[in-house]
Amino acid sequence: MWLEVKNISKRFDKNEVLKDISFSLEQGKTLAILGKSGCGKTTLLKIIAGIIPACEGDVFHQHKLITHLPLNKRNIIYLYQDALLFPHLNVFENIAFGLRARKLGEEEILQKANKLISELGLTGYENQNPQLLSGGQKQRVAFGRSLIVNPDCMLLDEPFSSLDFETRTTMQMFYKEMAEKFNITTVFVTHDLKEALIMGNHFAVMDSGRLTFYKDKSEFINSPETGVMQEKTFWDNINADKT
Amino acid sequence: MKTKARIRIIVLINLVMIPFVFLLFLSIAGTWFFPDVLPGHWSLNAWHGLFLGNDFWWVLLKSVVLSSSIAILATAMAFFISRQLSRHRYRDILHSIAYLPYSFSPVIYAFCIQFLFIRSGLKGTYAGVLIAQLLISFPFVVLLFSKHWNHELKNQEILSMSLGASEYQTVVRVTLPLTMRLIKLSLIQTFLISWFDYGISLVIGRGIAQTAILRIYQYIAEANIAYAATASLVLLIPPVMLSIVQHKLSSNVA
Repeated sequence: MWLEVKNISKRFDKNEVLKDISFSLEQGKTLAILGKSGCGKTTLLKIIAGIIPACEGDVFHQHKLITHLPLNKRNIIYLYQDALLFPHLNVFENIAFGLRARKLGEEEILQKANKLISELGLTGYENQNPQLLSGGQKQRVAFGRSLIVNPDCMLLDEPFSSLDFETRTTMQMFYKEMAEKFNITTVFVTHDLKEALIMGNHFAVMDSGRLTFYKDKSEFINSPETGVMQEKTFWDNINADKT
Repeated sequence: MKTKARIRIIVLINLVMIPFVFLLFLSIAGTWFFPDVLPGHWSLNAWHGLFLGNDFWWVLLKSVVLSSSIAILATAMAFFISRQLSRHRYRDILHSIAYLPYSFSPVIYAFCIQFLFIRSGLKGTYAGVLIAQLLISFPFVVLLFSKHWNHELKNQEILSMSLGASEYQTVVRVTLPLTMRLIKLSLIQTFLISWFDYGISLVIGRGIAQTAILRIYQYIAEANIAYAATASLVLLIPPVMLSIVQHKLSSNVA
């Protein structure tokens, strides 16, 4: 397995936020985790990324234990809801950030960053201040900044929640394309049912710190816990009212 | 309406400038006895005396070194320590403690701590004055930085490390550039706190470790008005230069 999470639990004081979470993911697949605000989704991602420690449990990458590795040695990138571009760096330098941290040669940085900028559709914006970009462009730069270091896994914490409907749909498609192209393994958390269905190959629901994993899309759709059928009934009823 | 506004501005400028013009006037007034309206003659003796026949330059240089050291040390220490404090679970209590040195006037504060300086042999030394002034400047910068360490900056630091940067690279490539405006402001403010400090320098320096401001008070005590006025004008040069820099920084931010 590319990524394995085993028996993760987390408590903040006496409040148990994650309860014995386990799942595994193959390379290049996207696990969509659906859950309400405060159910523990973000905490789970932060533990996998190494930002906060778990109370119990371990994280493995290709059967190798990585729980003890610090954040900057895991090659797992956690992306926030906001693009969080570095405001003192232009678009090019934001994208090249990870390469400079790895101390690559200037020529290699130029070549890799320019290639990715072109693939992201950001040619002409290299010297732009990131604060002047639109929401969608900012997210593209944020993805580019992560993709350039060829991460083993990307953890996306509702990255499109601050975008308008149209940009959100475009970015969902864009990320799917990029993830396929770069063979990126992704854990994608969202509270949006439709987004979970669009983004995922594998599906899970998180509720009060517990993760329910579904073996395929149809099981996810038919489960009463996911709310897909309720949603479908709602729209069917709307249609019936019209006729 | 325009004329009225213009008059108001002229009056305001005059009110602000009068003390400085008067200082300049006093520094070049040769002999001037009551009830004469103007001095009997004009003279540059005070300027000559202060810079050629006096160690004022030397004291001024020491003051510049002292204030610059305070500015650099307080800012550097506060940069790292305030970052830790702001992420501490008891940060509110710790920040309240940082206000304590400002509960007293600097002279009383200096009297309170002078015992420690006598016991440690630091009273009457520049090192003693430096440490005592740091005790005032450092908490000031900690408070100045406290609101800067917000969630967004913390997340940017985490993101930088998530992208593979080490802690050192994160400080140099993310934290420092994003804090630079505040660092510059802190350097200016702490320099000015030290530059114009009288109480701590007097009590801890005991007149042996002289600063420029103590020297001016000495001239006043000696009724050497021309020297005091000249030295005061010279003392204004660094703050005026720093005010211009600070103004430029604020304009850039706006």
